[in-house]
Amino acid sequence: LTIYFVDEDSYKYDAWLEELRFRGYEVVEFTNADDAFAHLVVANDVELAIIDVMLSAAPQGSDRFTRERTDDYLETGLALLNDLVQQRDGVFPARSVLLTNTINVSTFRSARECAVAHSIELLEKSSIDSPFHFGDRVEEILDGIDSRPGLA
Amino acid sequence: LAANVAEKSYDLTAPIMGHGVDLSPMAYTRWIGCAHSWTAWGNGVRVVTRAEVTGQPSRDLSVAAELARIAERLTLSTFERPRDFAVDVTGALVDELGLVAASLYVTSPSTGGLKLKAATGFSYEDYESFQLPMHSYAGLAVVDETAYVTDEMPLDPELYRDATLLSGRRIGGIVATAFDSASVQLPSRAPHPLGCLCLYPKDASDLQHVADVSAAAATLIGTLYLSALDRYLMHLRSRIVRESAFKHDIGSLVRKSLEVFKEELGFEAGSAWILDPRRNRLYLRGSTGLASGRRLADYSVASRGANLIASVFHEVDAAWHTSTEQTFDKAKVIERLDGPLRNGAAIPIEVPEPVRLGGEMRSAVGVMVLLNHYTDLGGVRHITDFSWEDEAVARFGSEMIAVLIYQLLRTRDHESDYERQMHGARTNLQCAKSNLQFLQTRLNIEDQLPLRYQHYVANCIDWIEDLQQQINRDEFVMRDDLSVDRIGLYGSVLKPVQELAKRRAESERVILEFTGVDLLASRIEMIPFVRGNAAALQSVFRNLVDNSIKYRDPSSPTVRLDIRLRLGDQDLTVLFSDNGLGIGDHELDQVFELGYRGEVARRINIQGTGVGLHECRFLLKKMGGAIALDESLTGSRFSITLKRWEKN
Repeated sequence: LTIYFVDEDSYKYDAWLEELRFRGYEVVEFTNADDAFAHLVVANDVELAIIDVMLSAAPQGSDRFTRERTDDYLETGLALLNDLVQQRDGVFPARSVLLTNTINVSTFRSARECAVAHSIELLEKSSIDSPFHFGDRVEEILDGIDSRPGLA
Repeated sequence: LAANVAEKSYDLTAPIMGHGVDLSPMAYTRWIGCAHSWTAWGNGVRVVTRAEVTGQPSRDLSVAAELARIAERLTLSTFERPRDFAVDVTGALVDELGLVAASLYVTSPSTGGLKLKAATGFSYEDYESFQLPMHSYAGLAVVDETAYVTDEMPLDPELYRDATLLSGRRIGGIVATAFDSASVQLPSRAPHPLGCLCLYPKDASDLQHVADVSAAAATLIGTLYLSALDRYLMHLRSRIVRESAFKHDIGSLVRKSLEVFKEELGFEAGSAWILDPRRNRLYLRGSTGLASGRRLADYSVASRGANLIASVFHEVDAAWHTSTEQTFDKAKVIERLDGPLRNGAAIPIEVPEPVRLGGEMRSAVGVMVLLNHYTDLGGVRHITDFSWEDEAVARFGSEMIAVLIYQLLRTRDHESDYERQMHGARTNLQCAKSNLQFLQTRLNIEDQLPLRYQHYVANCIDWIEDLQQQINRDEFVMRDDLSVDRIGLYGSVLKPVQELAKRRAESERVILEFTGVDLLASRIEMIPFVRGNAAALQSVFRNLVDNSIKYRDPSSPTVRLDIRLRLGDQDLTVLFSDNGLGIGDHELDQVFELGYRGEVARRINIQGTGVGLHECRFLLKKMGGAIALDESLTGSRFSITLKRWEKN
């Protein structure tokens, strides 16, 4: 089973992801919403998808994650989650968590409303004190998620 | 000559000075007149009126004398709004000419009608809703730009609609005279003529005299009316500045401005649509007099280029304007774009010159929609319309509001840039710290690095934390809207601060002891939730802890921090004390002032800016809390009061 980390700056969070690997998890990274959607919509090994709210779309342009729909790409992660929920309601939103480092009140409010609507966690990066703290939080979230039959 | 007229002396052999030019004796056998200087009105308007002698000197002298009396009376007029001045005009005409009634109308170019501005002698007082069509006697006077005089009885109800307002009193006829201004500086879209005077003498024999006087007075009154409007615009400007300029968000500014406009212009309902240049959409940011079941934020339309009025009207199905008697019909709204709309006006909110917003040069930052509905008057439905004067006032006011909104949008642009930069800085700092932490622990560098080098890594982590703390604090102080939520004080605030403080003490090689906190940890379920922002509260307590470490007593080997709680019905007070150098009792209030540095800090020359405690008070105030420094025999003792979380 795999933890998916969807963040355009994922390389910067190597230490966090290494911590997850250190704890025995398989970690796969995506740096844009289109690639993540294409994979997650069919993947059978989703343990958890950690989706950053401010996320880029595909570099060559995206029909799905347009500027208008994503509020100038400030809320692409929310659009990605909503699309995944529509396509695979057996997996999402249950096996997902939102991640944000925004200080924009409007974006933060949207993210929180989305998290509340889907009954999932919204992790604020600024509240994560260290890679070990991140690892602890992810494990707490995984403990809280019921295993669903049908997932590999 | 003015002095002579005022003295009621008509010595035509006296030298005449008009416009500063001597008129020859030949000239003044053909001209008489009166002159008044209006410099006392503050805007330097100077009006000179003249009447031509047409071979009937006694009649012309009589007209000049009436005109002089009217002009003199209007000089003394004190008023706030053009309508008050119009009331003075009709009052002066009724008194000086012995009329039954007089009324003053201004034109409404959008509908091609006349809107009653003031009346004396009418039984009906609701000026705002009475209007005449252009096919009335007053309308004909305006169309022909001349006087319309009739003694024809009975009156034709199609032409003499306002005669019903005279409550059956007998009149000798009607004189309608169009008036205009001598000023070349008319408000944009002001029509010619500006309006019409309607005078109702008692006897038909007075008609000619009344017509002569009103013709002579028309330009004077038109010019003074515009002067009154100018003065009123200055009043409006100061009111908008006073009531709206210091709003820190667009919604408050727009709502307050709409209230001011509603009071000043007297419309029934209105809404304001403001451009979000980043999203290229117009959002409904305020309304007045409108019923709406949904949040304002739910109403938005895509901007269609430069024509924001078209954007609003083409996209919005205005069926939600349910509080107006007349449903705001979409087709009619669109009609307004091409021509007259009978029950509404759309005023662009424009800055005087194009400015760069959201990467584009723009003038319009929004649209103000003003709505009026029908009024029943004597069984006839009248539409309360907007006159050229209303439009001039609305355009003037909206330009001022546009400038204020532009400043806010520019500030938002800057904030957006700042947010992007801070987002990058925060991410980089956090990632750098995470990498160091990962190296420090998981790669077990203790085994590979000498002890003195291990401090390098630990110090880097501390410095990064200090930077993060500083950035967080600055952000909280900068932001107008601090999101406030239900906070568990121990788990979300005190425990993380305690952990950070321990690390800080280690790096400073200070022994740090907490008392009271462990007791709180054991009774966590008894501590009520508080209302606040976790990160901001952490910032406050971390500031206090940092001060305790910084201003520690050098004679004591240990920094002791004691944290206790005191429960109130509505609030929760945290008593925070230390065993440091303390603050003098005479400085209890001053320490929270921006830039103030305590005596101890100055004496022992510890670096500082005098910002920390000021920010603590600022942040707590934003969360509805407070901080106070209590008198203490040893060390410092702070009381931090927080509001308890109320479910509702």
